[in-house]
Order: sequence, then structure tokens, then C-alpha cells
Amino acid sequence: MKQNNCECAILADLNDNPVPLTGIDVKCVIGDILSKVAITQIYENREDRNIEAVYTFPLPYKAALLDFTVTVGNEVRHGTVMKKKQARETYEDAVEQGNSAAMLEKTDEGMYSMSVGNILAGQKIEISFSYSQFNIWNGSLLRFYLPTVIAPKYGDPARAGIDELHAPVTSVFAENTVNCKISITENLRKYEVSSPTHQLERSETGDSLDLFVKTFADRDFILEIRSGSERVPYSCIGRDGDGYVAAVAMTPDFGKEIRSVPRDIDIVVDCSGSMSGESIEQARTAIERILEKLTEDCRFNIIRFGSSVKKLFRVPAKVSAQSMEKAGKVLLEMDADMGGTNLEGALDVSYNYPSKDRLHDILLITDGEVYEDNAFYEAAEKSGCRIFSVGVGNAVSEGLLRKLSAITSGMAEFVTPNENMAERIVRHFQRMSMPVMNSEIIWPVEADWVWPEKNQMLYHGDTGVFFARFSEKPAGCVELKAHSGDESVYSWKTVLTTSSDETPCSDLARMAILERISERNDDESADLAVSYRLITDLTNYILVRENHDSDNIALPELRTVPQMVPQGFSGALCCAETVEYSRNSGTGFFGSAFSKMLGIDSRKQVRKGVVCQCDSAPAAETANNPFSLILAALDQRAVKRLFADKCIDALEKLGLKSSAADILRLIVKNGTDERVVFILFLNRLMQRNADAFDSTSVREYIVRSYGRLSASEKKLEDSVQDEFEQIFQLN
Amino acid sequence: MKEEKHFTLDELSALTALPRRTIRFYMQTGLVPRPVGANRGAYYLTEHLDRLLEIRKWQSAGISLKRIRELLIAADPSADIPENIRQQGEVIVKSHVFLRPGVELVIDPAEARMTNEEILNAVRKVLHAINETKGEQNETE
Repeated sequence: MKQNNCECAILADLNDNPVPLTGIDVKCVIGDILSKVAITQIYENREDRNIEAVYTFPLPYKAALLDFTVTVGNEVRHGTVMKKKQARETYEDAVEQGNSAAMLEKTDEGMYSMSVGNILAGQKIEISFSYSQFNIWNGSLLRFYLPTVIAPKYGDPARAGIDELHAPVTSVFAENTVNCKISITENLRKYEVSSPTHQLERSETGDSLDLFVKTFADRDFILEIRSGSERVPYSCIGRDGDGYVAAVAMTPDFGKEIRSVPRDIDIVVDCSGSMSGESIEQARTAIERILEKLTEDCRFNIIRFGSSVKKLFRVPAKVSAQSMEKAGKVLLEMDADMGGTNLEGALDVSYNYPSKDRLHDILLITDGEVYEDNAFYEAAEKSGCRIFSVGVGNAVSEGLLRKLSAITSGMAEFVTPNENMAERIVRHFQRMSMPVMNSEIIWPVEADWVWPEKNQMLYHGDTGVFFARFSEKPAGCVELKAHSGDESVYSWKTVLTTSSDETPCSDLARMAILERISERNDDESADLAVSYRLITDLTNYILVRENHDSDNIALPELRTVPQMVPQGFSGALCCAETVEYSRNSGTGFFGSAFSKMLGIDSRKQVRKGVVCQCDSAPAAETANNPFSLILAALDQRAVKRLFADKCIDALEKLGLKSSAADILRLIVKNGTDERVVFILFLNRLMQRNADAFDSTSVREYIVRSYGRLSASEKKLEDSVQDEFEQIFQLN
Repeated sequence: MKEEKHFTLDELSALTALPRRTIRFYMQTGLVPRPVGANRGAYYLTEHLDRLLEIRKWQSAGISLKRIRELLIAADPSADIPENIRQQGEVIVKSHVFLRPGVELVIDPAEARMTNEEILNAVRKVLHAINETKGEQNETE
């Protein structure tokens, strides 16, 4: 008997206290080599009794936290790093004695908790911390990622070692605002900068390009910085006590000699409820691209999972007309209707098929919204498979996917709904076709230690960072060598920079040590974390402030800061009534066309018991303008599909007159890119019918897509003026 | 009059092997009553110790805090234990498993403390039982 499963969001119960987090302020500086992010969380007690705020929030995977300050009024104090047990005791002592304390700890990969105890009535506390990351290029893209929200996850937080106090909580009433300023400096100013997730305000100063975003903490903030030019290696040197740490970032270019090696590829795709809406559409696009790229020496399988796991083929199948047809069918049927997120079970199914003498790679497409324990990662490491993940959605679980890919020598790509999925799939295939390389870094003098210690998997166009520690300041040439089984040798060289950060315990040294100790759990690594002031699984930041009247301060009430519901969570489906209405209004010029389209989708849209989030009010009357009817009646799902296809055929299917479509096709035939024509046309359409555009999601799509056109592409508008006018005259 | 034994939070923590933060969390969420007295002079009684030991006993049997809360309320309805600590508008992820028209199984794995395998087995068994009740053949998986 067929079982249909789905995940639902269910509203739960009451209380009425003000949320103590009143603002988040982010300032980033992105230079040639590093990105530095400073975050300030503002806590305010708007009650008349003292409270304890607990806020669990996301940060990028392996972000090296470099400082921790607490500001109350004019007083600024710096926190210290202590081992967890001592930090917790210090915090408890303070709170019980009527003093105030702030503690920051790592809860899980990419997840941190701030506890602020005894915020006095009416008091405002600002807590700031910052982190640095090396700029990692993937091909021509530098992707700056700032998470703002933890999405609801499937499963038991206790599995990931998270207790109830620190487990993230999501509320529909949460409204956490983020104010963000990003300064792009040095050579990066020359490159193309855009955001696929937010609208940016730009301001050029002498030193930098400043970008401003004011938004809610309800989805990831992404900045794309693109440069077609060749990646130049860079290096930095920083003091480490009586010695020096050096870091070198190299982006290997293996040229065009990438030979395809026979392999088995399991496409593992998340079909749980959280993938509903944009994410499952992204997954569909991803698999379409993957199927296009499979070569004849590949065997493949498609493994869908939710609460259960479904394999397409019993064993990986050879690429053939038949297997492709079956795959195509799965692609059409595939939906976010398989229930919970049994990621572990799905991967186990994949690991358990022994590939014998072939390489076995896994392409995992998921939003990662599940709690996993150590056994999960251990199983991945032991499997011998490389996991290339594609993280989708607006609030992807970056930590889980990066860790999974890192321990299996794979790689993770992340794609928000407006980013280019095809590009990422192509890059994953380039990576998968790399033979296994032995690599080594050769420093100009002997090092006390190097990191990574063992063979680092190198991928074409992906920046790798290498560290080493020396007793004296190193100088000279650093060489990265790689050779594959068949002995072809690759080599890249760079000369070490002469400048250095002479602070006795430089930020670079701290970042290097964090890399070295982050996978370890022993006493020595805990001691190192304390002396280098690093937050790890074993150490927390803590600060205590004494209160004058501490004897008269009672134990604080608990106020947990909830997460916002991420954009697109549970798919922003239209309510059943809206679908019905639209179907009935299928009269007039475009009626039959878009009713038919809605008819295909509406079967899947109506789900039992799902909390409906209506993005826009349904079109109240049949608008006079037939164009506005198409676009205003589109639900979010169909809009995404339309923009994914980006072509004139899609517009025609929606109801654009054939003669109008032909005019657009002629423009394409005369040499303009179809995607550009598509976007320019929609932009013009929107300008002419601004008041008919109720649907903000459609408006956003058009504005964003238009914004991402290059200057020369935008100029093409002038040359197609006449043709566009013709089209509008037609109706 | 019997002299009540007084405990500090430290002593409660040592006697129950529960961290102080955890005990404070239970008090903040109403599972354990607040201390007697206020501020620096606050102290705890045997009833606090007993309640903590009870909670710990159930936890080690694998029962979730939410369920423990219900058990405590049932055992002593006059005790001032709030029924729910969930916030207004909280969003929870559950699995709605469609079994047959009109029959659905709702599972919150966090609350149920079930692994994926356990959930799958439970679903199979429930489906089996319903099919049997209806006198229908059960498909072999």
C-alpha cells in the first residue's frame, strides 16, 4: 500500500513576554585574503524583573571567533576563554550571587548559544564578537555567506548532544532584525558584486565599496563576488609567541586534462516535508543537470528519502535510454512528500552497495535540516565514498553538510533559490572526475608543524589553505605539488609575502591553531584553546560583571529568543481556496492556458493540515490587462519554475500569445541571449503594469534578475524597444 | 516541630548529580518549585530534592521532559506546575504519516525519543494492525 507522508508546521501554545533580543548589527570587511565579520547582539530587558536570555544562533562552519566584548552604557569589557566546565561554574556562581554574566558556547557545528544572565530590569546590554575567514574561491566565484536563522529541524536535538535549554525554537511571531554593512576593499572592488538573496544599497567611498542591507533574520545572506581572472596565490605571516605561523592559499588549476574515470554515482535526494516549495524545485533542477552530465562509463542510482528510503534501481544502473527514461519519470513524480528526514538511513543504503573496483561517489541534495550524532559522521568516514553535497533552501544547515563533505574528501556547494544550480552541478562533476591526487606542500625551510597533516584532496579551481609553524620568520618560495596514480605531476609556486603581523599572538596564529585542534577532544587541545583564546567544543567565552545590589537580586526568569520561520519554509503554498478561485476564473484570453498549468500543480498543492502561508492575495477581479492576469495569478511555486526555465517557451505555455512569443524569438535569433530577452521583457512588463503586481515574490524575482544583468546586457533594452512596443500593441 | 533540612543549590547539585544550570532550568520552567526565601538567603528543602530525584529517575528511563511534566501534573494536580512551556506561535516539525483515508499517524521524533528505524517499524505495525482489523490482506514488504 502506498504511503504518503508529509511534514507539517503546527502552531503551539502561549505566553506573552517580550523577546529580549532587540537587534543584530553586522559589519563585514572583505579584503583580498580574508573576510572579517563583527556581530553585535543587542539585548534589552523591557520587563520589571531581572531575566536570563538564551539565544541559539548560526555562524559559518569553523568560524574562528577572535574576541568577545560586553558593553553596558559606557563600560566596555572583554571576555575570557575558559574550559567549558569552569566557564559554566563561573557563570552559575555569578547568576546565583546576583551578578551578571554573559557566556558564548559552541552547541553544534555552525550553531552557538549565548546566555546572558541577570539582565536587570530596564537594562540594555550589547554583546559583540568577531570572526575571520580566508576567502575561498570556487572557480570564478567567491561566495560570502552569512547565516541568520536556524530552520526547524527534524529529529531529537538530544541526538546531536543539544539539551532542551539550548535547542533552537521557531516562532511565527519572531521578528529579529539585522542591520548589515559590508565593505569590499582592495582588489575585490574591481569585481562584480551582487546578492541573490537581498536587495543592496551601494555607496562608494575612497577606500571601499560599501553595501547596506536591512532585513529580517529569516534567511541566509549571500554575496556573490565574481572574477574571471586567474586566481593568484596569496600568503600571510603572523607571529606565534617566539615563532611564526605562515598560511598559503593556492587555487590549483589542472588545465583541461581532466579525464573521466569509471565510477558509481548515487544521487541521494531529500524529499522530506522541509524541502517543500523552492527547495524541492531546486533539487529537481539539480538532478536534471546531473542526468545531462552522466557519461557512459558511469553507473548511477537515484535514492529518495524522507521517513523511508526509496531506490530507483536495485543496483546502480548503466546509462542507457531505458535507465534515463526511468530517471526522468522519477524526476517528474518526485516531491517533498516523504515525511521526516532519515538522512542517515539513506546514506547507509548508499554505503552498503559495494562498488568493488570502481569509485563510489554520492551526490547529496538536501537542506540538511536534521539532528545527527557522532555515529553518523563516523559511518560516513568509514564508507570510503566521497560525498559531494548540494545544500539548498534559504536556511541550509551549512555545518552538517560541510563537515560531511570534509570528512569524506568531497566538497559542499550551497545554492539559494536564486542562484545558479547548473553551475554548481557542473563543478561537482569536474570534481568527481578528478582522479585521487597525492599532494604535498613544500615550504622553504623546515617547519615545526604543518596543517593539514595528511594528503589534502585538491580540486580544480577550489582554493586550499595550508598552514605551517616556524621558529623563525620564513622567507622564500612555497611549492604545492600534486600527482595522480598515472604519474602526471602538477606544481604551483608562490613567493612568501615579506610583511607580517607582529602581534605576539596574531589572529593568523589563532586561526591556524583552531584548524589544528577543531577535530580533537583531548586535554592538550583544550589547553591550547584556552591559551589561544578560541571557542571549540571544549571551551567557552565568559564575562562576569558585578552588580551593586547583588544581594537583592533574585534568580532570573528564563527568556529564550526564538528563530524566525525561514522564508519559504514548508513551501509558501497557496491556500486551497485560492487555487479553486483561479481555476474558476479560467475565462478570457489567457484563461485556458493558465488554468491548465495550475491544474497540473494544484493536485500537489493541497495538502492536509499544512499551515498555509499566502504570499499574496488572490486576484480579486479579472484585471483588464491580460498580462497582469498571468503574473498576478501565479503562485510562488510556478514563479520559481518559470524563472528556472527562463525561456520564451515557458512564457508561451503560460498564455503569452504566439505572435508575441515569435517576436521575442526573433530577437534571440538576431543574437541576443534568450535569458536576457526574457528578463528584459518581464522587467518592461512590470514597469508598465506596476499597480497590477500584487505578488511581491514575482516582483522580487524580476527586480533581482534584472539587477544581476551586466551593464552591457541592460543596455540591450534600448535596441529592442520597438519590438517590445509591438508586443504590447498586440493586446 | 520537625526541623526541615535546608539545602543550598550546590548541595542539591551534588546529591542529584545534576548540573546547577539544569536545576535552575527546571525551576525556570516550573518542573521544580522555586527556593524558599529570596536572593542570597534562598534555600531548598527535601521536597526540592525529592522532585529532582523523581525527574532524574524518569529521564534515565528515556522519558522526555514534556512527558515528565504531564506525569508530575497527573501525580499531584494541586502542585503549581504549568502545563506547557512552549512559546506563543512556536513552530514544531512533525511527521504526518498517511496510513489510509481518515487515518493518520503524527510523530514528533524529539518528543517520542524514537530513532528513524523505530518510527518506520511503528508505522509498519500500525498499518498492519489496521489492515487486519479491516479484514484486508496485508502486503508483504
